[in-house]
Amino acid sequence: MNIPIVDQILELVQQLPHEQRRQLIARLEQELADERLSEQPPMRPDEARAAWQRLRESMREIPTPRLSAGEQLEADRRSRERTLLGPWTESGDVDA
Amino acid sequence: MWTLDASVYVRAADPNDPDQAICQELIDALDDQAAPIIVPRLLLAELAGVLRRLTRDPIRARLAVDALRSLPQVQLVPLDDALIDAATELAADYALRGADATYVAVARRYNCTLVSLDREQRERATSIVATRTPAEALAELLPPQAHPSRC
Repeated sequence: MNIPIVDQILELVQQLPHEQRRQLIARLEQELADERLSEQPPMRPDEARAAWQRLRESMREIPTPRLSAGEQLEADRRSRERTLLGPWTESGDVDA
Repeated sequence: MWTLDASVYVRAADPNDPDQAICQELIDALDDQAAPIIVPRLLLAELAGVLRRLTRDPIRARLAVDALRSLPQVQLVPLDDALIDAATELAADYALRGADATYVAVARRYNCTLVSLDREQRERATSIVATRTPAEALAELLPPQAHPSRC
């Protein structure tokens, strides 16, 4: 059986509708993230603290204006609450 | 012992957040004192979701979760049937949101003080567990002169 080369795969991919190409990219991105993490040994506590600090520093690189992480969490929680409560969100006991 | 809501961890992760300093200072103080932090595993999903949505970077979100779960004083409580049942009762009795009730259930089970920046969560949980803002928790942990960020 012949193993398809990258160009052949790309040619096939280009025949896909836009949405399916987007799904394919998302899936490949996820698989790469899984592989990369599965290669990592467990962190020691000092490594974990350093990783947390690096994360914090890297957050400075995200373009602004944007929501802060706290605002994003709050927006996500409120959005879910609105989805669950629907028209009852603005009434009753919810927003005491 | 302490239970930290996701609102504390996600703010600590973001230098653009106005509450970042106080949240990180609290986490550092708990780390310095080797104080146990007991949280539901749900925290990992909440943290990952926020970071992924902000950064659009799944690897960064996963690394943050890996770092958090590797911190020595953080103990993650699985979302088992008993915890879900407890959270369900609290949500029903105290009108807590589902995720909020999970943190309160963990704090109650392990007799922890719940630290949160979510005012509604603190107010509704206050008759169930001890609740604090990060600044209040820091005031308990540190002598006043050692805590420059506190007003």
